[in-house]
Amino acid sequence: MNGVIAQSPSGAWSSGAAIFTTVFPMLLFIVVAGALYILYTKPEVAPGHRSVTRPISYTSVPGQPTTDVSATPVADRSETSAAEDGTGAAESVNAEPKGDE
Amino acid sequence: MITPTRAFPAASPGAPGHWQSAPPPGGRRPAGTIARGLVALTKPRIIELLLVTTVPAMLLAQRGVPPLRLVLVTLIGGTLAAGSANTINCYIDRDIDAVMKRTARRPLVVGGQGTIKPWEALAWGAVLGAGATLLLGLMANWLAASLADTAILFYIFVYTLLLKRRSPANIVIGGAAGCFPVLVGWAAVTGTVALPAVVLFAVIFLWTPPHFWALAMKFRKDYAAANVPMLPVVASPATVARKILWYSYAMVAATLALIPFAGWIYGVLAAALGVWFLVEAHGLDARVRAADTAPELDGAPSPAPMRLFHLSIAYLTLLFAAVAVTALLPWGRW
Repeated sequence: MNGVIAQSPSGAWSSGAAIFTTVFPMLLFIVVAGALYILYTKPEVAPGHRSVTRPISYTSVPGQPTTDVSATPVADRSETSAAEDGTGAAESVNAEPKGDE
Repeated sequence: MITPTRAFPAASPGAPGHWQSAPPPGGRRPAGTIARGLVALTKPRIIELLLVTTVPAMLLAQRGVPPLRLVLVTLIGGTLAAGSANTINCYIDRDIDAVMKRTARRPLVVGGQGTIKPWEALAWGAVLGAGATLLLGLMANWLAASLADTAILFYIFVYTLLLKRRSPANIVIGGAAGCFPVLVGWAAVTGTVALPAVVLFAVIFLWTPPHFWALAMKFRKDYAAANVPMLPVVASPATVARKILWYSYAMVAATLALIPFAGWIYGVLAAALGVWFLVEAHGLDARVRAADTAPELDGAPSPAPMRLFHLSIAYLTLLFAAVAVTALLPWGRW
């Protein structure tokens, strides 16, 4: 192998290696980021993931606004959030507006 | 018209975490806000702890002080690598971060700051990762760069994507990602990975479950709400406390395995620190059992798992300080 490299004309091999050295890390992370972008742009379609646009305690029942949520203690609200998980409140008319994603 | 209510109103109005402080969709975001969001995505406090383990490993590998330039390159490269892994983790986990109070104010979470767009976070993570690889590869060596890349990929694919939402052993196996900085530091100095570096790796590997399970005991409801099967979610507190105890003993044994390389002074310090850690781990076990036997009584002792969590951070810092000091001492080694 050393012989092969030593016989390579001029500095072409070094240039190629240098370019590859610089490009490889970028390619590696571009590929990883690209794959993750494709798979998780919409987490709700990925197995085991859920929508990120749904405010958890926005409504207690899909389609029905929560009345006077602000009167509920903070701790209770967070527990309610957990209970509501998976109720599909994201589709509610009261769902928080989507960002500019 | 229904007024939107914040999901997790932990922040006061006007505070950075207040959702109303987030810019309107399509609005122009101040550069400072974006910069703060990007930095927050890297989880700087976790990086800090990772770097605490890197420098002592480099000192032990050198048996003295390595060139300052190499130390700086390794620390900056390690920071970029850990920042990359943490940022991409935030991107993947942004759906469950929104559910957990502890993480609801992260920059990617709607209802939190919401200052960074998901694709921006992903690009930021990729740039940090590529930067770490180039910096470590060109200015330290390619073994160190490869180990840093392995840590990033392990954290993303093995911990975040494969284990975190599926297995109670998520933090046991996935925690290995946090052990790589000692290997990176050692490799940066020597160009190889030797047995002492592997022992240091094992110490952090065994330290991670007690550290993280103590935190997860405190935030058990959070993890349960997010359907993350952390051990405290799927097992009783008594079982968790017992496993914490086992890992604590194994960790202390691993710290003592470094004595032939680090010397007797290190051994004395490691043993004393180990006793300190074990006393607190036994204390947690005792408090959990006391709470189990008298759960209905008012004033029943709280397990207070965060005591062990905070102690574990101090413990790891002091243990690696002992490694660093004894690596610099001209005596105290065999």
